[in-house]
Formats: sequence, structure tokens, C-alpha cells
Amino acid sequence: MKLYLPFAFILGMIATLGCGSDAPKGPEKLSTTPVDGVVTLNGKPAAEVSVSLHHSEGKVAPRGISDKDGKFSIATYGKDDGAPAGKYKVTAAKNMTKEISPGVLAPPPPGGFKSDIPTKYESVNTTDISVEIKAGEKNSLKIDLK
Amino acid sequence: MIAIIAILIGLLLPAVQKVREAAARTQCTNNFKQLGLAIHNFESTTGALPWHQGQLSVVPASTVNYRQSGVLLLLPYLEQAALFAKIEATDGDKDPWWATFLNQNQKIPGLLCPSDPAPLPASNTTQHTNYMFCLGDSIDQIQSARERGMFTSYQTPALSGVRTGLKFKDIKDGTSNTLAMAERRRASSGSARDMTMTYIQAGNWFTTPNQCRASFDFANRSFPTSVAQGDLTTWSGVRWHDGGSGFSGISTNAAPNSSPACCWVRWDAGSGMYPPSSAHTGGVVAVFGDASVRFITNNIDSGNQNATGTGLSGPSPFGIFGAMGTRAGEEAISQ
Repeated sequence: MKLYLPFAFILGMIATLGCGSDAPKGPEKLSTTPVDGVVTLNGKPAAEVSVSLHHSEGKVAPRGISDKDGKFSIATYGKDDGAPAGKYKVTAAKNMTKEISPGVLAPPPPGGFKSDIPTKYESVNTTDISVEIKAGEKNSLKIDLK
Repeated sequence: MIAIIAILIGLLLPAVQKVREAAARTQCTNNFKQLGLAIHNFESTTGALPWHQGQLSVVPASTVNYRQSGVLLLLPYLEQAALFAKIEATDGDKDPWWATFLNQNQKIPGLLCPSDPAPLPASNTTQHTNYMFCLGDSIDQIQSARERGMFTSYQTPALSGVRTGLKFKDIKDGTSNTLAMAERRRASSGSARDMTMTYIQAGNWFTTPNQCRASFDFANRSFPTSVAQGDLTTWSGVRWHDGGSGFSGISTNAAPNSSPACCWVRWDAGSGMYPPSSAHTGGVVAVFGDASVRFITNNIDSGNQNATGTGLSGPSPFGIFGAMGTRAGEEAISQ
């Protein structure tokens, strides 16, 4: 048995060598509160619109995509989990996906896809919509694009 | 006696593994050196740098998407002049994903990092690459000839068929301070949800590096099954001849190996965040504008990861790594 003690000791040393985990941990997860809403363009429900909430401290990117009635549900970390409470700027852009064959996405043609949503809503720097998500209550957003 | 042998094996095995990785990293370093020299030889011959994305042949704008990789331009300087001639003759006017792009099945060993554990594609299918052009530190300006890095793209019809990009004088930060190419691990398969995956979403859904990371479950190294109809895709390096940022670009807004990639507007040549990645311990290999090859550690200063990475001008908000990615950010780098 005596013979095996140093053996086990050396093995133990080897096992601990070079095994430091440098896996990144990622940002902390904030608690979320449910958010849904409806997006309209000039008063009419807008389908296939990607709605993004931009947190004032830039930690999360909650987002959702509207259905044919303009309704959307916001998700941050998982399906329909809502968004952390706080103040957000809102951007909206048309879902510009076009599949041309399995696994290949079509790039926009020169000049980009045609979108009837004004381009000012595409950028956080130019959008004039902002919302506040309150914890502990149901948040229903009305996003009216003009 | 058995114990002594066991000790010897125990001592030797990890060492052998380390030697194998060291050899692989040396090979990877050599590949980068060749690419760096190829860029310089291209510049000596043509008077300008290659584009990272464009089209070899003059074609009507409606026909193709200017998506061929700048690696094609470098082929003659990587001892692949014969392959370049074949591609010029038969594939110059084709998009990289067309089945008629005949030479997409040509394996180029110099474009593959031996450390990468992802399986290689079958010989009669589209081949892979690990080596990516640096497209700058921005989240929204890595496309449409607005890149902040030392390579640009030619997508406008008036410029199709032009085979050169920026000039050395455009690299105002200095070639030794500006990243030319770095590596990304190749996406292995649709089910392997790890950092080789690209998360895609309709619209312009994030503006800071940490917002991209927030979609990723770091503890389980996976994405949740569905975040607001987002999707995962296997783009990284799986088409060696495609210049789209999703396939062959890196951005310097997030430190190496610190995040999966995130793409805007579900467009595979679009803006987003594409951090370098590798299977080397502790960082990635990269080649700079002066053709010097350096190892960039995972813990390099990447600035404020909550800073907005869109609409950038001037110095990079993403620290030393961000500064390396820009050609004219007016940052002084000392290291």
C-alpha cells in the first residue's frame, strides 16, 4: 500500500494540472415580468414585425415578432418569459427573411428589401418610442408606427 | 513495477497531449503566416488589399450577390494558382451556394486549423475554412462597404469585377496595430449547440455585446429552445469560398471564445457579432496587417461590453481588442 500513496499523490497532481476552466460565465440573468402587445402601422395591425426593446443600461435585448394580427409576446432568455423591469427604447423592423433553399438565406438585393415601416424605427438612435416595463403587473404594449 | 509503469504513463500521457496541441498550434500559426504574406504579395502585385467579399467576374447586378470570399483572390499567392485559374474560368460569375460553383469541393489544407475538433466534410461536398477576415469592431457596420476593419466588400454594381479593396494608406492606425485575419471554430452540426453556432433573429435586435450573450445559456452551453422565434444556424467556416460575414468574418467587439455569434436580420452576410474562437488553450491565433502572427488571449481587454456597438465612429468602445479591429480608430495600442 505504501507504494501506491506517492502514485496516487502524483496522479492527483497530474489531474489538477492544466485543468482550470476558462469557460466564460456570461452576464447575470435578471428576473423578468411578462410582456405582450400589439404593433400597428398607421392604425392597422402590422404582421411579421420584429419588435426589440433596448434596455437603458444595455444588459438585455428582449424581443418578439408579431403575428398576422400584429400581436407579439416578448422574450428575453426563453420563450414568452417577458422582460426585466425598466425603461426601454423600442425599435421595430420588418422580418426580412427570405429562404431560397434549405440552409441558405437569401441576401437582400442591392438597396435592401422593401419595407413599409419607416426606417427611423430601425435604429435605437432614431426611434421615438419608449416604454417602461413594471414588475409585478401585466404589461401590454401598444406600439403605433407612423 | 506496475506502479512505476503507471506513474510513467501518467506522467507522459498529458505531456503527449500537450505536445500534440503545440504541434497543431504551430501548424495553425504557419497557416496564418502564409495568409499574411499572401495579403502582402497581393498588395505588391495589385497596389491594393483584397476585398473580403466580392465577385471575380463582371456580371449583371441582378444575377449574383457579390458573395465570393477574398480568399479566392489570395489563392495564387498560396501556391494555388492552378485552382485560381479554374475558378476564374468556371465559377467567377457564380454565387458560392450555387451547386454549379464547381470548385467548392476543393479542399485547401492551408485553410484548416488542425486543432479544430469539428469533423471535416466529405470530399465531394463543400469544404471548410477556419480563417476569417477581420471586419471591425462594430455591430452594424460589418457589411455593405462600411466595415471598420482593413477589408471592405464590393457589392455595388458599379464596382463589380473590381478585384481590389482598400490601400495600406487607409490603415491609419498602422498595419502592425490592425488585425487582418483571425480564426473561428467551424460549426460542427445542427445539434451541437455550442459557441460555434450563430444565433439569428429578424430585425436589428441587439446593440451591445452583452445583449447577444444574454440569449445564450452559459451554464449549459446551449441556447434556450426558442427565444422569440430566434433560430440557430451552422455558418461558421462551412463554405471556404463564401465571403459572407456569417461564414468567414470575425468582429472584435467581444473577446475570443467569450460568446457565440449573433446575426441581425437573418442575413448570412449581414451585420452582427462574430467573435474569434479556437480549440487552442487560452486564446486564438491571428495575423496582423504587417503579416506578423500573434496569439490573442481570451482575457484581452475588450472594453465595456455593455457599450453600444452600433453607429460607431472614432475610437472603439471595446478596449484593446476593439482597437485592433479598426483601421482608423485613432487608438494607440501598447502591449
